Amino acid sequence: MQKLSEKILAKIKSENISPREKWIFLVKNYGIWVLAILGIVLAGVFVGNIISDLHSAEWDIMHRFPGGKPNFLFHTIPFLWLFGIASAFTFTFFLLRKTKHGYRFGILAISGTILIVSSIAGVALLSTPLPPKFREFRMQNFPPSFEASEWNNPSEGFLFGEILEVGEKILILNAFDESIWEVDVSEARIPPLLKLKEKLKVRVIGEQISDGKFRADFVKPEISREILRKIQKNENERKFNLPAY
Amino acid sequence: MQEDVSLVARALKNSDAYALIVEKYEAPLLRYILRISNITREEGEDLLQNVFLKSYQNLNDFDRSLKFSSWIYRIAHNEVISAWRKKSARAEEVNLENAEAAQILASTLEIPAAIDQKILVESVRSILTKIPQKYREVLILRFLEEKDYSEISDILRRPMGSVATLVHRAKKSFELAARETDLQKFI
Repeated sequence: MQKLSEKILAKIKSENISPREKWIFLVKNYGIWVLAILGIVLAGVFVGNIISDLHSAEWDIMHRFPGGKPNFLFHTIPFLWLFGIASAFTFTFFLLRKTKHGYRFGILAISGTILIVSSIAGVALLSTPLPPKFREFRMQNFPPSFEASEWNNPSEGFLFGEILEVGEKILILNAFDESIWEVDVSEARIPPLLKLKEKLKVRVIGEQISDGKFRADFVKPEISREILRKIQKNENERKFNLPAY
Repeated sequence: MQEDVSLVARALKNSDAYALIVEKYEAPLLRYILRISNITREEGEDLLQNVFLKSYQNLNDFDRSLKFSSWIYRIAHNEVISAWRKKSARAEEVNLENAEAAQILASTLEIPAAIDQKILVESVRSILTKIPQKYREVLILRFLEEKDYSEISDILRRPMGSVATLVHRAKKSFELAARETDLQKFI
């Protein structure tokens, strides 16, 4: 009876079987690492975006936001970036498990490493032009849902419209429903970068005093691409010194 | 370990040297394959041949920081899993070649050696059939193949901590299943 070793050698020779070249395995192994590192960098970009978005969120009006705190959080939590970070995390996790010795580390060790490294990468990336570029991409492709009707509810303390005139401590506003309002902004908190001028659309939080009269506690810009571009420009120039806008 | 590394280096230069690796691992690998599966000896030999051919084709991927035995056991493990997938069925009956293997596994339960060998083999085989495959394989690797946790970790590609947990759970599962066999009066 033929020995197994003889059978195998005969098969190797008859079918011209040879060991695969070493470079094939090297390319595969390094390829996995390169993709895993890219995954971590991508997760870092998303972390950077999340920090950047949360930093510039309108936290000062959280308690006065139309629909209350839940609606504020719904508008503020960067779901797109969270989805991105979850995808990048999953992708990187499975790649790291596929590396030569990845199986030696537990789920917690790998997950913790990805989170820590991507957070560090995210903070580092904040000082680069990448997060604003990503935000611009989001604004162009996934603009925030802005419900003008939610903001045009004077009896509830919300007003949204276009400035017709800017007076000393007074704004004349053409509201979303075409009603005209005289808005007292003498005690309102207005972001320093917001220059009130005619034709500018603004959101106002305050109190209706009488028909056609409104007292503003906060004046905020309409969330628009134009405004966001300005914010991005300022962020690039001033990094983290930008006040909540 | 050094001997295996040198055998691999020789086999990469000359395929005839690969016969030495086959001769060294033929018996333990066939025994392992038969233990973790329910295939016949002939099927096991066919599977083993595939294992050696795959191992030969992937010799350049052998990680010298591992034991060669762990690496080739890993290939055998994968081949058995792949064979199960093709048959869409897992081991329903376990091949336990002799009373010695049964005694080794029974000793994890501290069952007296004086027990009738036939009963022992049948009972251990029945227990192994009842417990989940992942537990069965880890028990075989730990107690019959006498692999340490680090080797089992490399063979099953699981973290060492997870292997330790698996062995502990496997022993519990084995003990639990043993209570439903003729061995219950000895536990």
